[in-house]
Amino acid sequence: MNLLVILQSFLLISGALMFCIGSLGLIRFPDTYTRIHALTKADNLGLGLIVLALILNIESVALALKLLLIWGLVMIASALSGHLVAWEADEQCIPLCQPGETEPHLESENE
Amino acid sequence: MMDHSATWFNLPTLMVRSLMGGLFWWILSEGDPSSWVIGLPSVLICSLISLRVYPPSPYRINPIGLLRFAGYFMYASLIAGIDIARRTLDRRLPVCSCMTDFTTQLTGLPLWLFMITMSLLPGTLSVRTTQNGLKIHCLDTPENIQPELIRLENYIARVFSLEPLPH
Repeated sequence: MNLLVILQSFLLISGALMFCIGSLGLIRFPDTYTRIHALTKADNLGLGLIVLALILNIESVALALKLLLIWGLVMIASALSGHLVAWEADEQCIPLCQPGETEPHLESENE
Repeated sequence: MMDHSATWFNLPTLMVRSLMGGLFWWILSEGDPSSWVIGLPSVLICSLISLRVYPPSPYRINPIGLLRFAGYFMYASLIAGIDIARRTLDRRLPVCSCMTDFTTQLTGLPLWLFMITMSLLPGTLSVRTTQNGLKIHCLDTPENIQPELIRLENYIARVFSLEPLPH
């Protein structure tokens, strides 16, 4: 096994792990706002690592730029959609919630 | 009618946008020469429409500022990912959900870039624009993130060749 393959595997595995951590954050974090943090940031880094791993053995410059472009566009889309979800949550006055608390608006729905 | 068309038609901007569009097409088609039969007219039509819909912007992009911003952004988004992973995997879940306000004098495109990048940097998420700045959600105490935001703001001001912003 040469060095390139080891480096690529490392980047691909850590990228995939970042996506898993993002999804875990979605479950563990206490309120809407903190969940958006987990998703946008972890997914951005995860995709970045995967793109970097794929670029390492590409010969065509255009294809490498295409992968970078995909990363950039996904980044803008995830940041924008995260912002829009936060904006709408704020508009609906969804309260902040610290770890260990149950979300008050969900509690009242269950009763 | 002629007067109206003179206000939106701007040759240098059209050329810059066509070049950007051409680069974009070259990337999408992975450098396939035969694709330019469709690509070239599409790029020209899109540039003309974009000029009509979105007038030439008053900002001057500073290439060095842009490179420094890109470097800072790469580094900070790596830190952001590691930071969120550390918080998620910690058994005690060390997050503090709170809102803070940030006064900024950025407007238009720089403000837009500021809001987008902030959401990808450690512990900050833009929620809405307020009268003299932004409402921000943060994962840490507001005192800790304020200096980071000022640094990001300065990087963005340099990208658009703006004067350093007072605080």
